[in-house]
Parts: sequence; structure tokens; C-alpha cells
Amino acid sequence: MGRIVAVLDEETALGFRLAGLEVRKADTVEELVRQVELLLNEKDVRIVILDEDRVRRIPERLERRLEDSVAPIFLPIPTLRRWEGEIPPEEYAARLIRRAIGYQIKIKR
Amino acid sequence: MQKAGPTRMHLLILKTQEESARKGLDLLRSKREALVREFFSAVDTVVASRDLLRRSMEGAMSALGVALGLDGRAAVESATFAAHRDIPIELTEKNIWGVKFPDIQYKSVIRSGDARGYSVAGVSSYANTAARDFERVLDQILKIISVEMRLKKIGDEIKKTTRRINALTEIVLPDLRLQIRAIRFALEEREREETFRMKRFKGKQAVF
Repeated sequence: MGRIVAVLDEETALGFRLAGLEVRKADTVEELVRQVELLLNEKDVRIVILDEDRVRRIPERLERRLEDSVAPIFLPIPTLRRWEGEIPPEEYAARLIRRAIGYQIKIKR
Repeated sequence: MQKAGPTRMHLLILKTQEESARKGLDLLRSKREALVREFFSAVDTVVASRDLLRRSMEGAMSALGVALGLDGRAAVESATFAAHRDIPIELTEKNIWGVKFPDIQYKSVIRSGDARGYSVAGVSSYANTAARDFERVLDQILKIISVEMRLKKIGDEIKKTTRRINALTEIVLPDLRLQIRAIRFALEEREREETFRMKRFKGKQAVF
């Protein structure tokens, strides 16, 4: 059995706390990096939910490490904290595909 | 690759190796096709799930905004202390066509109104709605993880299979064919020499 933890900004964190989730606050990219590095060493944490917009701003090497990590699994989600930073679902899937198979494809819906 | 001596035995061995490599190549190509089909069906699911998550998140954030506006931050924060719980999850491993990916086992995270730890009378319906909406978001997140991990793992396997196909078509098979041709030439040359020697021998016998 393992735990699920979220590392989010103050507003979104409040919502997930209402849902009963363990949330750690990270209002800056530096705080996010620090929390993520701590979580990478916590053996009972299985899933970490992160802010999609902030994850794009962390060092690329760490971002790759998070993408490849299986224990814990890191999942970036759209927090809607700032609309201009949000990635459309098609673009998110296209990024996933590019990382997965190495080709850029355009998803038409 | 190890260079073989120009003998018929080596020629036979190399031909068998070439045949095996060609069969392996066909198998790998079929595997890649199947994986690509599976990959694109997972892509559709990921796009649809992400879209749903985005819309649920929008709803949950606006419900939270209403709760904060009408009840105040202190009241909502107070409800979060009571709402805290452990969400135990278990990761198991699934295997599809040799591709292993994690699968998440968990009990439903959506609670009824009276199971959130706080008194229903003490917390406004706005905060309660926000809590329910965020529980739904959390449920969708847990569903998305398995699909996205499957997509990543299938992608890795496609890359690995493509590398193997390239190694076979670009290195292994051309090298084997080159060796087979070299041995054939050497054997033919040896045969010609033998025929020539036999003719000379016959010619000498005729003289004596």
C-alpha cells in the first residue's frame, strides 16, 4: 500500500485538501523542485500530482527524471491557475507521443 | 561480427543465421504494427480523459471560488482539517504483449456528504460541493494515470522494437549477406581451380 501526494499552489491545494488528499504547498518553481526531490526519496509515496504549468519550468533534466519515474509516478495536471499557461489536451497528448516514440504528430479531433 | 572461413559448413551456418534473422525481422515488424495500433487507441483515450479532467477541474475551481467567496477562507480551511484522510493505493503490474506497465488499485475516492469527516450542519453546501467536485477530479486523475503510463510504456517498446529492426536491416542482415557472398566466391574460385587442375592433369596423362 502506498500514499498519494499532491504538490500544488495554495488555491488548488485548498480544493484537494477538501477532497481529503495530502497536499504540499509549492508556490514557486524552487519550492516545487525541493518538494519533488524530497518525494523521490519517500518510499511509500506511489503517486505525486503536480501543476502542469510549473513542471514545464523546472530544469529539463529533472523533468525527464519525473517523466521516467515509476516509483513514484508523477502526473502533471492542469490547475487553471493561469489560463495562458494551460496546455490544451491535444498538445499535452502530442508532447507525450513525441517523448514516447520520438515523432511529432498532429492530433485532429 | 565473426568472420567465417570459406568452407561449405560455414556457408550452411550463415544461410541458417540469415534465414533466422529474416524470420525475426518479420516478427518484429508484426509486433511493431500491433503496438502502433494499440498506441493510437491509447492516444484517443488520453486526449478524451485530459479533456474531461480539464472540464472537471474548471468546475471544481469555480465551486471552490464560490465557497471561498461566500464562506470565507477560514471556514473552508477549517473544513479541510476534518476532511483529511488516508487514500491507500496499490500499484500492480499488468502485461500486454510483453509490455509491462503499472495498474492502480484503489477504493473509490468519492465520499458521501456525511462521510467527509465534518458535520454537515457546520459546513456550507458550497464547501461541500467544492469537496465533491475535487473528489471527482481526483477520481479522474487516478483513472488517467494507468492510461498515460500504458501509452508511455508502449511508446518505449515501439522505440526498442524499431531499434532492433534497424539493427537487423542495417547491420546484421547486410553483414551476413556479405559473408555468404564472399564464401560463395571463394568456393566457386576453388572449384574453378580444381577443374583447371584436373584438366591439366588429364592433359599430362594424355601426353604420357
